[in-house]
Amino acid sequence: MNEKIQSAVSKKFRSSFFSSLKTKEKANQASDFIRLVLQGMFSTDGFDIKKMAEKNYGDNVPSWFEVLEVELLEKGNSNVVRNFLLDLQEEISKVLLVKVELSFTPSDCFIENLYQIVGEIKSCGVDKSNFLLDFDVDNSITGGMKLYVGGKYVDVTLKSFLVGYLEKNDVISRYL
Amino acid sequence: MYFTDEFLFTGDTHLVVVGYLLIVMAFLLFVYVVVVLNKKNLKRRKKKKAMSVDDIGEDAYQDALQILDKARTDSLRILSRAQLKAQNVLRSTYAITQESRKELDDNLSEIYKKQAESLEDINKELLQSYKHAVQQGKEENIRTLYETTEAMKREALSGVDELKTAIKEETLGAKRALEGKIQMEYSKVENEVELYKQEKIKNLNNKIFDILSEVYSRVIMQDLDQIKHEKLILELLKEEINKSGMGYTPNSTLRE
Repeated sequence: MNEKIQSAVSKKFRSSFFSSLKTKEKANQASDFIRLVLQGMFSTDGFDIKKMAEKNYGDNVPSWFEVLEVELLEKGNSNVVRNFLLDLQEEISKVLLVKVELSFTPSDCFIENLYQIVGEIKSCGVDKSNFLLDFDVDNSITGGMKLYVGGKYVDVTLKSFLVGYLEKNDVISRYL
Repeated sequence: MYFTDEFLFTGDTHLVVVGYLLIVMAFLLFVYVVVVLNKKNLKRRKKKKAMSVDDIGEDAYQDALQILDKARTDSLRILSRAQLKAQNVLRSTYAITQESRKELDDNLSEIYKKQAESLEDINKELLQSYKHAVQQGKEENIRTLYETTEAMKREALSGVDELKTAIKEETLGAKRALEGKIQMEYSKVENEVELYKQEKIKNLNNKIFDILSEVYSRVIMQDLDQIKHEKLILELLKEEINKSGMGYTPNSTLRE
């Protein structure tokens, strides 16, 4: 019988961890870090996750690390930590990606607000615990953005709103 | 006076007998001619319907001439015989005097002359009668021909009218069918043209919208910094999600 193996990653942690990640870029960063941790945790020289983070990120330790660090400290046992990290890596690789196309590099504030709005969409299979934003900068978009979520496309470009406004007000017949 | 084996006649008695004989023969001749003419006339009338007017007239005229010739010949033959017989009687009569013979010859000549005149009159009368008959036949034929022509004309015109009516109805029917078909094709083409026109107008409008939107976007973007831009995007996103019916329920306020 193929029995589904229970993941070592709890739903609560997953939600808080993905919320701290928010983007695919951060998820890749975390995934790389976890791989390093897995490689170094059985080293004879000893292992300190905090030092490893400081070594990699300097003073700009990412917010997701704090969430992960707390969870790992609670585990204690090396084998449990290892299993947890392996499951977490798998969870990251399987996470739902919400693709976002825009003409600029988004600010953290924008990313946070966008993540919040997308997480509050009831349909399209997203919730706060299982999605990440995948940003793609496209200079052909003059203003606004395009969102692809759960197989649906949401056009939030400035151009589409202006076209809608011009059509709605029958600008061509009235003014041209 | 002498008595012989032959029947004895006086000069006066001979004349009277011969006169009566001629009158009777003339009468018989006249009756014969009239009967024959009537027969011929009857036969001709029966035939004339099938003959043309000119043929009927020609035939009647020829028949009349033949009959007249025959009548004349017959009457002359009869007269000649009568005269010969009278002369023979006279020659055989001893009692007749030279003077009586002369008188008898004169009388015979007179009768002959009168008979000839009478025959001439009969000829003229018959000729006139035949001319009249021919004329009448001709008129009757003309009338018949006219009536026949009129009947044929009416028949032909009636046929023509029916043909005209039929052609008119067929033509009108065909015309209506053709008009209907043309109208249908015209409507079809009109619809296609209208659809094509609408599509073209729609494409043109879209191009105009694209151009205008692009221009407006660029103008707007000049006045927008990233913070304002991001804020605008998030507002538009919330609006669009609400419109799309994706079930957006904001539970928390956005970060400023």
